[in-house]
Amino acid sequence: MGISLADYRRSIPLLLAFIFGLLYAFEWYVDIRIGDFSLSSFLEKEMLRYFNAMYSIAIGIGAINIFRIHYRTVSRRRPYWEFSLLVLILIPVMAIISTLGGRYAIDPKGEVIPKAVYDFFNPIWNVLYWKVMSIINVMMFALLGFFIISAGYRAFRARNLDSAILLLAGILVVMGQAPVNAAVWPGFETIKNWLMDVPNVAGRRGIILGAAIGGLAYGVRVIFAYERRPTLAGGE
Amino acid sequence: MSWARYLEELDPRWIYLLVFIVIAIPILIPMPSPLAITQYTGDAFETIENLPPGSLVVLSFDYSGANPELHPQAIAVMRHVIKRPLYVMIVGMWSDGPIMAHQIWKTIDKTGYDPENPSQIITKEYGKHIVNLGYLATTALIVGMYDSITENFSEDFYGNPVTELPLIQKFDGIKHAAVVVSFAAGSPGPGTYLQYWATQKPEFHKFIVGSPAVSAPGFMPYYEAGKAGEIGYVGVIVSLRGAAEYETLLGEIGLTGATAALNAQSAVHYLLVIAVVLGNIAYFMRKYGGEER
Repeated sequence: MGISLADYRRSIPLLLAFIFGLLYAFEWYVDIRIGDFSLSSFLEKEMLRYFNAMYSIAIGIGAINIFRIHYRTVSRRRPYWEFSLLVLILIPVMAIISTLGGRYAIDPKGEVIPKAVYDFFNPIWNVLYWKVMSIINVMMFALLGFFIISAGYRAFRARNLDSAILLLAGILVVMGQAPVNAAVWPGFETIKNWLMDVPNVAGRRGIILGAAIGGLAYGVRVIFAYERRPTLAGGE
Repeated sequence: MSWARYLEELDPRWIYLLVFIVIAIPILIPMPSPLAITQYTGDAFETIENLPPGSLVVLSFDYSGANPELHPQAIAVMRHVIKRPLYVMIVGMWSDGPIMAHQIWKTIDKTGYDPENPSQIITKEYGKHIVNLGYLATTALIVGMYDSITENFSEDFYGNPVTELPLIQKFDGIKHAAVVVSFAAGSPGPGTYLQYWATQKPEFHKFIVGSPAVSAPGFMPYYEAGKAGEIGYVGVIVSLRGAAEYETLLGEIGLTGATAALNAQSAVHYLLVIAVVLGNIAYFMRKYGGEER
């Protein structure tokens, strides 16, 4: 009975997850030194480089996905397909302008690409970045204020004891954070600081510790192949 | 239609209009705003204020142009470190961050005390007193630059060879930094520095975070740890208010525009509270007045 290609496709990702997962976890706790050479720091640095390469590839995959999704929306004339068309046009346009004339341009000194190319694209990039993208970003951020107040009005209800406590704590923190309250009643400030420093810190610590322990348990499951989804070895 | 139902089903556009008016009036009619200094901002200010002359401060711009809460903070802290006899290294874990720093450096008052002769006021020079290293694209870079900048960077943000910059010749590595300040809009943020830098020499490096109001609660456990001398933050500058407090402590009110915006912020805070209370009154009137949803 031979080993099929499907077996390899399942077992190789699991084996890689086991080797590198164990190695990375191991180097964190045990420093193996041979003279001045530290195996742990070598592994940490080298493996981080590979991780970074993989992150970069993931960005490329993300870009391809964006194009696939929006292309499908445009070709099938789904609702708001016009916005998808804008995405399809503007992403490559901005990418090209940024590469040739942006702050991180590929050759701003004109060593390989003629300097005229950078000089042509740089003013366009300046307008698109500072007068369009930056302004749109700020506008989107500013809109949040309108939505938060509207949402607070329509949805933040004291329906039961838990939500009533949350509501009261929220109102006290907001009142304490409003700068003018120092003149209205300094007690708001004291209450806000207590809420932030005591119940908030206690709750956050619980969440942080819980998430860390959960992450550790998940990591162990991945390394020992109890969890197969991250490696796609489960057949998905 | 009952009042309760009318209030509950109010067209949100009326609320948007009200928000617009409440923001516009304090901005159009400026008035002095009372301001108490919080301990979070006070601790951040004192940490930088008490640094010995010649110390190195790292400013990390971890936000993009979308964050009007952090930019005023960054202006205030940048002015403070320029004013004091300190050296400054700029980095950014967000690609737009060093561009934000560049914008501030172009326009800010560059006079301050000389780190080599702290009684003398000079104009700070790029390369000698301050360097912008640009975007930290990878975790490997963040790990590597702790020990050596010249081994990990060839050029700074402006394309100058780092080996030719006097500041880098003097401090070749983050290991020399007394304080790291991260203006953090999200992830990656200062937690990365705690993980890779603070753990190396916890007794030497101090960390400060500039945070939007919405993220501040998440930093508080680390602030409590920092205050207790553990790995954490020794100061937290929270939102636009933190920037206003910082410029007040610095004695340069009006530097960032944050103080002028505080009345608008106070008004919106009050409007939010009134909106939530009104919404709840309408809810309870309907619930106990016999009208079911």
